[in-house]
Amino acid sequence: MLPDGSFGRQWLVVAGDQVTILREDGRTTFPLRELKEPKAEPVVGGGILTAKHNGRPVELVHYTNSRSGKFSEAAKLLEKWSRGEEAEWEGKEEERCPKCGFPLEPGTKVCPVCTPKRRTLVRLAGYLKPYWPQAIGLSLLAILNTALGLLPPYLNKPLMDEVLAPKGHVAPLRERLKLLGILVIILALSRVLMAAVGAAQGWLSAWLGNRITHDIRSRLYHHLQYLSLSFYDRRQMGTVISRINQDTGQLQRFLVWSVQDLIVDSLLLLGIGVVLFWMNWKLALWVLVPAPLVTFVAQAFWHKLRLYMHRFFYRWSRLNALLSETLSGLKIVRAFAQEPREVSKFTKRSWELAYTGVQVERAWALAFSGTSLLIMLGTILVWYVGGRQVLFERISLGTLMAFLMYVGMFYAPMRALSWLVNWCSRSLTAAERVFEILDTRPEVEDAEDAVPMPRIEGRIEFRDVSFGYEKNKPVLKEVNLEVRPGEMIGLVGHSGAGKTTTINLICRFYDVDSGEILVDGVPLRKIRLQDLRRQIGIVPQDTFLFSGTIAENISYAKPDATREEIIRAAKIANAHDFILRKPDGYDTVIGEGGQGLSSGEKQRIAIARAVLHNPRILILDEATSQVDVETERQIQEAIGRLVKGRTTIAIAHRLSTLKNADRLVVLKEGRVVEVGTHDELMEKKGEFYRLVQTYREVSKVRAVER
Amino acid sequence: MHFWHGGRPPGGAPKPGPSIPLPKELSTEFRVLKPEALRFFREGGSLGLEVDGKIYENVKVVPLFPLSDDEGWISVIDEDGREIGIVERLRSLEPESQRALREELRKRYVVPRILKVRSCREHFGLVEWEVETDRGPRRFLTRNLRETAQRMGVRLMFSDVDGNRYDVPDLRALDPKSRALIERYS
Repeated sequence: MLPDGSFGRQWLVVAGDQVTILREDGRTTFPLRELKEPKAEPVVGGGILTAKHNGRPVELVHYTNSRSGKFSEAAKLLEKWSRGEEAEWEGKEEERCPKCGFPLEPGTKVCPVCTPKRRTLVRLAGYLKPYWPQAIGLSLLAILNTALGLLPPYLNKPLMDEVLAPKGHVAPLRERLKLLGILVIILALSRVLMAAVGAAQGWLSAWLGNRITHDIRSRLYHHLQYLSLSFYDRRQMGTVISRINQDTGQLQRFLVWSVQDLIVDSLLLLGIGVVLFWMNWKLALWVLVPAPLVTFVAQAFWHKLRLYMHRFFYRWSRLNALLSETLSGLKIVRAFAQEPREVSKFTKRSWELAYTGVQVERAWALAFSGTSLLIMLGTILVWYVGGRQVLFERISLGTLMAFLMYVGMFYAPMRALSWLVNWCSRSLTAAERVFEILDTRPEVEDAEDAVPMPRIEGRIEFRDVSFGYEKNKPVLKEVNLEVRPGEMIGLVGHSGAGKTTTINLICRFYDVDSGEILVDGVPLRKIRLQDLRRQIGIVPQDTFLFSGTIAENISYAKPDATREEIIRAAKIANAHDFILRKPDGYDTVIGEGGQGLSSGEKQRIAIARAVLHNPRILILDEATSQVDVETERQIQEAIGRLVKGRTTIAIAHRLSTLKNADRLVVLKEGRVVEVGTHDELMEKKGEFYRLVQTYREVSKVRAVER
Repeated sequence: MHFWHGGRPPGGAPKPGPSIPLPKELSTEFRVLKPEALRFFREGGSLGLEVDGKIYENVKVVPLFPLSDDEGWISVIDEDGREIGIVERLRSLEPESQRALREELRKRYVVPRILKVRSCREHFGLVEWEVETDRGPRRFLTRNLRETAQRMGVRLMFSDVDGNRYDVPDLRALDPKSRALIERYS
């Protein structure tokens, strides 16, 4: 990037005590020690490395986002060097494929561009291993099916030459009738056998394909459950869900149908080819004339068809999106009287879909007729050439009839194969996407020497903790904090100050970038994750309840809880009295996300859930949502009972929580600015005092509005 | 499709819980009523309770786990909506008390159990059922069960168009014909 904002190259060189910025048309040099406060300042679409020179800000280098990781590291280094400290380049080399430069997912070395399709196929075949007897059975059935399919046309030859239109020596009628009977029986038998083999083959291949897809899907889901949360931060939930649904679905279709077709069609093609050449190789050569044309035309149409199909599915999903959006926003549409607009919007998209549908069908029809015509060309050629040979008595009529039937069978698998190849490559892409997730290692993992911790006392220490969801944008900066066992800490601060991040780090949803968090004196990284999470309880801000009964939701962390335990927990959470007023008491089914419950009720069920979980460390993310005064009192009471005897970290919004907390920690822009009791901080008249003042003013306004 | 925000659930009329006033003080203590220290009695149309010599009149009873355990966990509530305590097992009560309590429960928790499906006819999106229940024969209309019924393992619960609820505690326990009829519409 150049200083004027256009693309170009620049280099930042630090040599000795000189900092030089090299451009293609010149250079600027600063003495290293005169540069103060170097900073990598993010802008939209890139960043600027700035510093102060003689007290005045200077812009050193402009860069695009692709280099932002490097320059934020550079800024840190410059700062240390300018103070005369020793420091080394710690930044990770950017993870790009060494071969093609495609950026790699952190933690994987698999480049999606360079991975050969064959490797994916081999890996897919690996899933076949547990079922090898079935797989072999399936292959045998396919071979048998092909062989049986080759028999009926050949029966034409004796039928013509010996029974219907014999030449030369003619057997008596009785003999010919007998032979006819035998031929008919053979034909019938082979057809019956083929049907049986075909059914068995279809059943077995469906069994196998579904089994393997199930294996992959379960493994994928299992993996997703254990992947770090940061994996989900980088992705939209929808794309992850579509990977489970669509990609495995595509894999299933591929494994169940395409693989089978691929095998059968290849065998058939090979078998017929061999038979044709064996019967009459001169005539067989004529058959091959349209073969390349068929493949070529099928390929050409496939590209067009794929384009239309993509467009069709895209429009289809857009229509669906519109439908669900407007129907769920029906009230708003009504309220603003926008029905005509929504109707016309829908009609337009529906027409687009219909139009694309026509295009798809037209392409199909053309492709089908086109290839059919070419195939007929082969037959026509054989008619003429073969017919002449029969007339000159070089081959028998039976041979020609059998030959013609084989030719008819020859092109169908050829046409299918040329499409199947494309289809397969798409399915393999789906397989690659699935494998890509399976290859992603969880960033937060148990250390090799992780120690078990059956009972946590509840002492938490933050030592110089820095962390950012994106490496160059720290959210927490050198946070130091000590929480005593059983203490209740209230985290206070504006939104974006780092409260939720602090909590995420204690739960080890993410690993710190630098510094250390210790629980009972043991670094968090060294504690077995299962032990840690089992003893941390969370009452989240947006209460998430699973679909199921109230009792099931309360006992989520302890599925074997007795009814007495559940009722006790509900009573502590002030939830019992409203639960018994529900139609089915504790057996009342609540929908996904807690439909049918008010937000106050949901919160209290979440508290009951935490009570039953009985954690040593409790995390409270107080809901900001407005509940009435009485409900708030009930919730506060419940929380008061819940926090007894546990280390509690609460993100506090309500003044009542702030008063209950033993100490308050005030966060501002990722740093701890004040720590103390409520009264101490109020006397100090610092940051906390200002926060409380604002809060009070807002409450006053609210009180007036009510 | 969940686009009824706050409106009626698709099963029909809403199904409210028992209407008991919320008490001023919520009950936080888990108190089990000891069977030997209590006596339920009927007094006119209502239920009374004597526990440790203290008499409560006009008490309300609520089954806390009506679906997973209909033989126990009955919450007993006084006139002000305060919970007096919980009866853990119905069968542990004196026969007289037990009878009085069961009678009250039958009136308070009306969810007929379907024992047999006699016939089932579909017209215009509604299904007309003719069934035998533990409370006698009944004929009712439902919408498509696929959208309104709740399936919990082998249990099936659904509401008719008027909001009455019906319970099939164990689908497998029904006779084959009834089962086939229910499966067809759910």
